[in-house]
Amino acid sequence: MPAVDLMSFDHEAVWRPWAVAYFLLVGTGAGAALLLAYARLVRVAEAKGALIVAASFALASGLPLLADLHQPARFMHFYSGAAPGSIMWWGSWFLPLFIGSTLLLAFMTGRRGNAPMCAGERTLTMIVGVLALCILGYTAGEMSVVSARPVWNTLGFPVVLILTA
Amino acid sequence: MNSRREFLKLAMAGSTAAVAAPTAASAQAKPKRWGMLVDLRKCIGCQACTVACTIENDVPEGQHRTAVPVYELDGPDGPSQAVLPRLCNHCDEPPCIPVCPVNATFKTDEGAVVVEAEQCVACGYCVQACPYEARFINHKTGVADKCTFCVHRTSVGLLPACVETCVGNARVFGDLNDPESDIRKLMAQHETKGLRPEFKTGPNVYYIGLDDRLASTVAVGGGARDLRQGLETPAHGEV
Repeated sequence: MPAVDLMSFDHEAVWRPWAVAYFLLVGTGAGAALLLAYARLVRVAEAKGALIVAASFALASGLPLLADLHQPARFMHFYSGAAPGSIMWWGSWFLPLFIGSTLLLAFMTGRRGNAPMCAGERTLTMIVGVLALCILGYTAGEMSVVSARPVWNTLGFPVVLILTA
Repeated sequence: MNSRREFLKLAMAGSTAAVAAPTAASAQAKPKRWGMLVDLRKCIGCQACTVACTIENDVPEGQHRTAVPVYELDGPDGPSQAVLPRLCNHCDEPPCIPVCPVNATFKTDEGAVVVEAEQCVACGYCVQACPYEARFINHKTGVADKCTFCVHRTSVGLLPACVETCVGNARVFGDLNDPESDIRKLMAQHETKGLRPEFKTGPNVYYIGLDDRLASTVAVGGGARDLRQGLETPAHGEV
């Protein structure tokens, strides 16, 4: 027989729906970036559609993330010191790098038009792919290390999160 | 320290010793390590500690640094009431500290886990990481908040507000490194338990008389929670 709650208090959810929106957008963007990198690596296609999805979702992902911070104006504190023990701190570096490199790649591809891809663009595509892996790794790792949340703290959780992305 | 007077005496003696030339003994003394012992046999669930903490620390309505949930438990002689004063456990291995991406939370030299409000970006990661649900985002300040063992009081020789106000002396605060402190003496005399030992966080809040059913996640069925949440049928939850 469980205890009967005569008087206690509830905690409000600290990560609001903005966080869910962020994970959805950045996961979709990173997934598209991985498809793009794969397509260009094996040279089956230029995958411009995947590039458009990756760039637009990556760009959009920053907004809900900032919105979920209760102190969004202090986001520079992520960069004013080092906290390598925190997976979220690593993510604060991966995210702008991912957004920036994806947008730069979209710009290069758009500017090139139908001309052949140069070595620089191919290299940047691989960098985008690696950063997409970093994004997926940090988001999954950030949640799965939280032992206080039993559902997150499982081996299967990061796998599910990455596969859904 | 079971009385405020003794605590103040000791604090003042400590301050005097600090002003005077330090002796060899004091130079070798172990640093303080604050801890709290809650004697559940003495707690009557009056919530004076909850109110005192709220007033002392200007905690917004509906949020708590400490509170005393009350449960009904089945026993051999029928149902009985159980109280469980809860606060930050100021763990030896606090899971909230390493996750902070901006180094806004840390342990003081005396072992209290505190938050540097000006540095906190309020990402809520520490709130998620705490297995004791002791942290929250303060509605007034907009940053992570929690019990600090009233660091602003203890640093000047006062007791935490909840200890100061406890009508039954159920909360005992003191130096865990001092074998002569009342908290250590009580711990030597009684069996004590910490909350959620499965997380291996090394909590520095101890309980005398803690029912095993309340030590880990408390399975709750029916009661006030259902009424608050407007549930028509009894449902089971966890707190």
